[in-house]
Amino acid sequence: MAAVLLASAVLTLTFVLVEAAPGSAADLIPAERPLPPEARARLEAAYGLDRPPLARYGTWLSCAVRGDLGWSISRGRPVAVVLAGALPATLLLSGLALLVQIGLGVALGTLHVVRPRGPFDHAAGVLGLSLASIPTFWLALMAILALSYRLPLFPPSSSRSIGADAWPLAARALDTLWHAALPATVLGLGAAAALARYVRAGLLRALGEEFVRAARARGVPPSRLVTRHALRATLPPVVTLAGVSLPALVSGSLVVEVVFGWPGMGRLAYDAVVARDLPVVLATVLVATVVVVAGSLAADLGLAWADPRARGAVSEPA
Amino acid sequence: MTRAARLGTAVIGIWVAVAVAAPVLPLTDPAVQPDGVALRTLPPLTHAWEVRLPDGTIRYANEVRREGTGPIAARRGETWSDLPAEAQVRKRLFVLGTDLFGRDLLSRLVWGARSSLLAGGLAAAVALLLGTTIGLAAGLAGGVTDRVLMRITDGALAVPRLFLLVLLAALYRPSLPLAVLTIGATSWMVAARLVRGEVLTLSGRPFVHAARSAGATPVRIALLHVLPAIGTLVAVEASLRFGQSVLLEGSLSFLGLGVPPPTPTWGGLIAEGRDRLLDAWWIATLPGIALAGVVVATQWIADGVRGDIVIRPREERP
Repeated sequence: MAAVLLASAVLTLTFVLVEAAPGSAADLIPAERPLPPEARARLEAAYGLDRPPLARYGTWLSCAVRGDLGWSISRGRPVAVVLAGALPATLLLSGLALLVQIGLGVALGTLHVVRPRGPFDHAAGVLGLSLASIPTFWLALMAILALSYRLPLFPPSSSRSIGADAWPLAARALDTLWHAALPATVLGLGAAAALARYVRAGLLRALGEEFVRAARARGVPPSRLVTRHALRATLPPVVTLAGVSLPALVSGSLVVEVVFGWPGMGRLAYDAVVARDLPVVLATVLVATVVVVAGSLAADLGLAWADPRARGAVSEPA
Repeated sequence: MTRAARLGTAVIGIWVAVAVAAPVLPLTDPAVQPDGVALRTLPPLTHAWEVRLPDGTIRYANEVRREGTGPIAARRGETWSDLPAEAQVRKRLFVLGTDLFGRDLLSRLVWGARSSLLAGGLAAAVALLLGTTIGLAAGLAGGVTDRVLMRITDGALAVPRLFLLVLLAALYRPSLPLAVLTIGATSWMVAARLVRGEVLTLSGRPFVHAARSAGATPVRIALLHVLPAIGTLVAVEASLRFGQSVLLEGSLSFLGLGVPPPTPTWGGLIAEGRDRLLDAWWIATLPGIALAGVVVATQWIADGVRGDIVIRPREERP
């Protein structure tokens, strides 16, 4: 329900923004000479631009609901088709980045509590702070410089090798993963720092609780105490925070895709802006929001799985 | 204040001072390109020679020898052995090297700080003003107003910001005011939530009741009674928001959608260095370090100020 409301709010917002912008959509059509007024009027009539804004708003809504997002001027194909081609790449990249974020965040957070206020704690703190402060697009460039140019370990751009289409499926999958390694890591690193802080706080709290003391009394070794007992208790905040960090992740994928030449939605949006292909830019905002909302819903479901106490809360109608 | 917070304040203070003083500092004009051949992509700490001929013209050389009557100067690919004996030779040091067009990178970094910090600071101010107003209104009004405002806040949080900013840059011509307004208008949500949560806990306190029973209007209570009490919280958010806004402006300028050239910005400098990572790494690297340094400093300040809050109330959910 909330998701539908949000999607319609975004549709309305984008419509209002386009309406408020100077110039008309007819200006966007590339022409060698300024259009004569009668040709312009014909063009506006053909595209329905002469109708009142409210009527066009209704058309915009009803078409979007049916999955018709308009026509891409620069690519000469329906926007929905263009987007459908780019969405899987973005989902793959964001998904891998999420894995990196959670894996590294939990690892850093655990490193924190090995000895609170000890050298590892401080080192993890410094690392986390730096990761959270480094601009993603710059980190991407530095990663390319270090790991693609100086040490040619990973490809600097694109999502697959030349000629990979003819390879067997397993080889193609490995090839894509190899290409995704650098962009996904860069994208996940920044968010991992915030997660590490939560894991640290959660672990410290859990380690003081009775079930951990009981386990310790039973003779459970400290490493197992952290990995098996305390970490489980920090799962709910990890899932919640992963859900909260989704908008940042999808935003970050825009610059990362541009730098790494990753053929996803972010690069599509950027290319469309450069080509002044407004329908595509509008659609990417909408689809990116839908991706985030869907991810948040998944995080809520994940929370119910991670925290039995939250199950009742989720099953209520939102 | 902790040591880190003092250090952070010093970093920000020095950058702001340098940025404000840029016009009077002994720097070359950041836009001037004295010699695209001799001065192009000089690494940091490289010397070049300024050869002033008797007729007043200035030539730049990479090497100068004195042999017999006059100096012999060499520029990439050519040697001038016919220079008159009266030619004056001056050594110039490029501390941070030069960019693709032979412009002094130190000067561009300092002038870039001007636009980057100005855009980030103003955007953070817009975000805080919006967020604090909405948070105060929601927290003090309660009821339907509160619920509607918080739903809008939740919705705004779910939109991937960079996609929206890219759309706005596509609709309007990129400029400094546009960057400030759009970044500010998409960054107020955290402040609104924090302020509202704090207001909810404060509104039950005796001093608010006292003010209300004395006949103070809601606006007066908000501005004169509640706002001073949440000053620390707003200061923490201000510091963090400043860092994030500088980062966001950097992302936009990196994509070419922020403050437009020829004004140098940190994000723009990184973009210029992007294509020359292999042979001129310093062009993209140095502005990135400056950018990350400013963001780290804001986090240090926030952590220091936050440490002064004795009780940190938890955010309440409706």
